[in-house]
Amino acid sequence: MGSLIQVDRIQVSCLVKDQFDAIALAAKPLLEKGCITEEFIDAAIERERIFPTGLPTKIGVALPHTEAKYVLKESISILTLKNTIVFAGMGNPKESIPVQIVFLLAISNPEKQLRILQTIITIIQNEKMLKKIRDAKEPRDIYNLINTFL
Amino acid sequence: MKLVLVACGTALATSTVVAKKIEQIAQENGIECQTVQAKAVDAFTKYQELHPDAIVCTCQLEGDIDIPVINGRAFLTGINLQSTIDQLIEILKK
Repeated sequence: MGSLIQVDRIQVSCLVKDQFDAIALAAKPLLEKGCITEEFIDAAIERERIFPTGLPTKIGVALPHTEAKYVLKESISILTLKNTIVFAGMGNPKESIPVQIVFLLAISNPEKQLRILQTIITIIQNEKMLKKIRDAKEPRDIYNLINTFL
Repeated sequence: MKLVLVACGTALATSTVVAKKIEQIAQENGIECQTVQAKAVDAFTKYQELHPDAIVCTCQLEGDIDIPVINGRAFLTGINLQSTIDQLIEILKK
């Protein structure tokens, strides 16, 4: 698990103009580290348009991702947003969901990464944890929070 | 043996987590149940091929489906989780 989430792939209090901008920003460190292909970004944005990933938790979360063929090295990028950004609802594209935390998933083998995926889902269901992540001042704080949660 | 088709946009992240939860819930309730994951675009074809007992999806689905379709988002958010579980068990116990 440690290797999928790294401090240098966590960005806090980001300012973005919309959900697609958020995806592009979250993808940046993954691209720089050679975890994804350049096409990943457009593919994730396109997928978000068709199959949105916003979840209406107390603090809204989005889980953008795309197909395995764009993933070079499995990784997860985390973004917290200074202002809430509207994502469309998972399973319901007409629903507007204010999101403050983005987990961009670059996953190609979900069976192998089940534990980390389940951990993220457990975190999403924990309001206190979401608050702590949203309010974190440093990437390392989020890194430590998630690690202690495992 | 019951069969649940689990669909999401890419059949990669959310449907894997949801499928495992469904298998776990079925087991806890003494129901023999298998899950098959599908991409949203393939879900209708898989539905026609496999004749599942229910579809759980975290995406919107197209096509004329005459079996129960459950919104699987509760398995991710925890919101209305118990009513979703109850709904699923009721279908699988039939």
